[in-house]
Amino acid sequence: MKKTPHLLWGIAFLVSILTSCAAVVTYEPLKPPSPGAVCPTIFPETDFRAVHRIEISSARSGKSAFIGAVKCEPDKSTLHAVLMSAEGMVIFEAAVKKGAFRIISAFPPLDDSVFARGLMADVSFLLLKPAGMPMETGLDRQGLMTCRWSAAAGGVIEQSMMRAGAVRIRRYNQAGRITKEALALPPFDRGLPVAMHLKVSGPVKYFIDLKLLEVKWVN
Amino acid sequence: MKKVIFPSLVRDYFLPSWRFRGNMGIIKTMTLFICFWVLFSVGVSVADDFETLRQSAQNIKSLSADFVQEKHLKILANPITSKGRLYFKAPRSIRWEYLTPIKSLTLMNDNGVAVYSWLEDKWVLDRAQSDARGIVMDEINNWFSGRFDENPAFSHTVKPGPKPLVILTPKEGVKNFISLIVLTLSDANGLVTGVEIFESGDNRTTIDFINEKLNTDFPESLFEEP
Repeated sequence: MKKTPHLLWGIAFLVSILTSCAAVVTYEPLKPPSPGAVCPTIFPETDFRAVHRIEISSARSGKSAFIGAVKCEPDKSTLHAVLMSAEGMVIFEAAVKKGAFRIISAFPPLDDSVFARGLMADVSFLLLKPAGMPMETGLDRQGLMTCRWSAAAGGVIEQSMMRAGAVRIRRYNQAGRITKEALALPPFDRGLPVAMHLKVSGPVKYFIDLKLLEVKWVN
Repeated sequence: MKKVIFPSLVRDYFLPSWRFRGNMGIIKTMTLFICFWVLFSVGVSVADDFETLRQSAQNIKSLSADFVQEKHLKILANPITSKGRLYFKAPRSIRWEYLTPIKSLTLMNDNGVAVYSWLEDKWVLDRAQSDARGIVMDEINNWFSGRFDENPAFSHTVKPGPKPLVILTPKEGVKNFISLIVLTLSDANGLVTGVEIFESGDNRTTIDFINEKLNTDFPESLFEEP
């Protein structure tokens, strides 16, 4: 895989985050779309099993690299995720089925249910297609084709088609503030991006970078 | 007919007995069989107790090896394969380096344990993991030093055979994450040639050591810096 486009997208994402910090983006109604415009289709429709290289960074704990394995059944909104150290030791394993969350094993401090639920919410946000049909489609204030879904846990999930094929995904809370923002980078294999960058806002800000190492399609 | 030439000892001992000595020949044959059986038994028992394993490992002054690790997860059809390189120097120096799919490095020497991650094209020290990894590295150091029964967190068993096994069964605490560790040893020198770790959730890890080279010289810097 070529490194330069990733680097460029990384810089673009950083600029986008810095711009967001300068002027906090909040939820705004969309403008009517251009004729023929369609929603981005980045989430896989069929079941898959994937392995990712994961980097998690925060101001508090610095940056660490992990291996992530996931079994995903989009139609059933089911996700089974395993987080391993770079040496392959399983440090966290959990499953989500239609919003019901279960820790299978976790080393402290990852066994904290709030942390674990947040981690699985991040994985679901990045890999699971929002349920149902979009509730709103149109152009955002940057003129990007955008689609929005109601999130099951409240708030809104938004996808915007960026130029050069990347897709931006945002999650707004019920107050209309962005709580998660991700950039999915092309090329896409049946909707699964080769790399993703996630920024999570909140009391503890952190970043997650995913690089796809391997994918197996079940169907 | 061409005459078959036997080694002289075998020829002198067996052939006259079988051909000419009747019952005496059978007795001699039985005696010899028993002697071989006793000798063979002694050979197997080289690796049937921990003290003998400890003695065998004293010949291991240093070791280098490549390793292939397979992570078998219940949710994946195929294992995740990692490859890397190991250096060990008695009494307590280890360089354990993963090359693919994610580069990572653990160094152990007299000063302690340091874990490095390859981030943004350079080695970055991970202090949090360095503290936690000490226990694991001490255990690995025990294995390569022939001290298989020293960790009180496990109960220990030796299974003799052409490839002797050391079975480590975790006690309270550890068994929540690891249900069993099986070490495969070389009968020749007691060296660990494979590791199989059975984990919770039906997950399993195998590590096979290949290209093992014993007692070659390494610079100390190999265990001190990335």
